[in-house]
Amino acid sequence: MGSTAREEMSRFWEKNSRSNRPLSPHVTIYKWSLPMAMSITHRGTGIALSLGVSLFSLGALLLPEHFPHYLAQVRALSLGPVLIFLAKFSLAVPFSYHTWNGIRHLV
Amino acid sequence: VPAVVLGSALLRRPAALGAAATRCAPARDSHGPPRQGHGSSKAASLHWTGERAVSVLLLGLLPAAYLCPGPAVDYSLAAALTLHGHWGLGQVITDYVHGDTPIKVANTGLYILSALTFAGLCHFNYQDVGICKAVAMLWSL
Repeated sequence: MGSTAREEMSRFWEKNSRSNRPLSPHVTIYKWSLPMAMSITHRGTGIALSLGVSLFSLGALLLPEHFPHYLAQVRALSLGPVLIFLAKFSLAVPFSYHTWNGIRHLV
Repeated sequence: VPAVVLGSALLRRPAALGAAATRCAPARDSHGPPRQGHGSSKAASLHWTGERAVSVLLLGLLPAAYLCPGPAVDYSLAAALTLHGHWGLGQVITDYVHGDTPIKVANTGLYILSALTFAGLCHFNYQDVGICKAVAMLWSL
């Protein structure tokens, strides 16, 4: 019987914080494995996509003009096809990675 | 014999604490069987299920956005995208932010961000071309 898991954990953390123990080197010394790398990339792409959506959303709230206006401005820049491709690619890669890896997590 | 029994019991306690230490933040998402006589909450486990449900929903919305673009998909996308992001960033905060006040501050900030994001997306859907159309237009560049 005794204490709940929550109580045990908070007792552990109080003692641990009090002891000011140094953090184990973990990421700096452990050899990187594929699962580790894929997991942190999933998290990184997730954060990036989320911030991107939020930025887009804030833009929708704050910018004076509508979307087609800004799109026309970009079109007027007459950027080379390579540049446009690279821009689309850099948007598609984190989105695709996060989506497919996400499916992997779901199954 | 009593010393051996005591020794193994003492070894088991630190191991349990060690297992708890593999989580960066205490309490929060602990699963495990509910103890007798203590209030056991299914909140964490329901949250987990909810996260998977929203993920599946969002996944389904992607082909829907491509095949049947329109306001229904637009608003569903706005909701699912915001919620999925909110819960995802919430897990990131739970993993990396420690200490009662920083956790509270971070989560409050997250709520504000998610609320603004949802508002912005809905506004975009209502006043502007909508998410599906916007992606199509962007990709036609």
